[in-house]
Amino acid sequence: MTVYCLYIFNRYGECLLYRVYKRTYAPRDPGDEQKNMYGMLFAMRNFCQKMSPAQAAESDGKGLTQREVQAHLQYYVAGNYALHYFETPTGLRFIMTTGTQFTGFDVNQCLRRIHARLYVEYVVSNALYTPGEPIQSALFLEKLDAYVKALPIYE
Amino acid sequence: MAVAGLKGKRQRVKEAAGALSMSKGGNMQKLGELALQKGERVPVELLALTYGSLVRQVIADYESIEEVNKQLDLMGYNIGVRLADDFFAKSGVSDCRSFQDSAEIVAKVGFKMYLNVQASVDLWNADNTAYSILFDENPLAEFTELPEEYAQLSFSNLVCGVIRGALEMLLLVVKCEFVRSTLQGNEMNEIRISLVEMLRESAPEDDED
Repeated sequence: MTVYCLYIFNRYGECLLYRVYKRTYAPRDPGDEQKNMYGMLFAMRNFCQKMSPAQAAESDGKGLTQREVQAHLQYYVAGNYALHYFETPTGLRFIMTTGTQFTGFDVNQCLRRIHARLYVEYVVSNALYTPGEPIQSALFLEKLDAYVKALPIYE
Repeated sequence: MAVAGLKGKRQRVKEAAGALSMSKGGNMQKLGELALQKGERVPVELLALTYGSLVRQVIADYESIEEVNKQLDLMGYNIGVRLADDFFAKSGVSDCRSFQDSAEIVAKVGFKMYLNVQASVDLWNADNTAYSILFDENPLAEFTELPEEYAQLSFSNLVCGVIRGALEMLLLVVKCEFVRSTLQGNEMNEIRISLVEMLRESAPEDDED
């Protein structure tokens, strides 16, 4: 089990952070990969919502002030890796790719913590950070690395 | 950062396991209370005096009161855009799906959590596209009196900006303004919030071809 990499996107599809942990190769064009990933997740997210059984009951007929019920993707598992997805109500997407043996460990909870304890404390509260720009704060990256590397699924 | 009352004791509140998943009606009050207890606090005097001198400075920097109101709103907006994330990280509110939801969340949780103010929602219009947030005490204006020449000043306009900025992060574009304020001799404060537009997230651009 291991953590491969971490991505943070905002709702405009801008990649705020791409952090490599145990990924063993570099994609030919990381920018291209990020664009594909955002596109895939965007489609998947809409599809997940379309399939939600709670949808009809939530609509108020006017379609103006009510949104669909949120039925977010949580993760998908492929042959030799898993991708975990967490989206905040403010439209930030936290994505972590890990190995497939994460049963009994809530990776989504980790992503929530990264948002609540690290992103909010060291990025949002940083007056020098302009929303929408790639995150370069050394302090944030240091805390993030320490957090990720201390996860029991890291190794 | 929230405002503590004069004798505001810090209490350790057990985080009820259910608190995180609550998100309807009466529970909002409780969420606001919990978030207030958990957050850092500053004395209300410090906040009132700092805010007062901020407004003073903005008045000195700009010529017309109208422009001052606009600047306060803009400052608030920039705060609100960031505060939205802080809010969801700390309040335990997990989602805000509709404009109607936003009313309860802003008034019951937001006002309590950041200003320690008990606010209520009222005066919905017929289409459910506008509401008012009502509250008696305004900690920002604690020691303030408006001189006559500043009668048009919306002293706490920053708060409107914060609400506008934070709701915009939830794709709700709103118009937000003080319609009544205790500083102007009304018996309570009223902030009117009307929905201008509900944005949708747009699909990423296709640049394959």
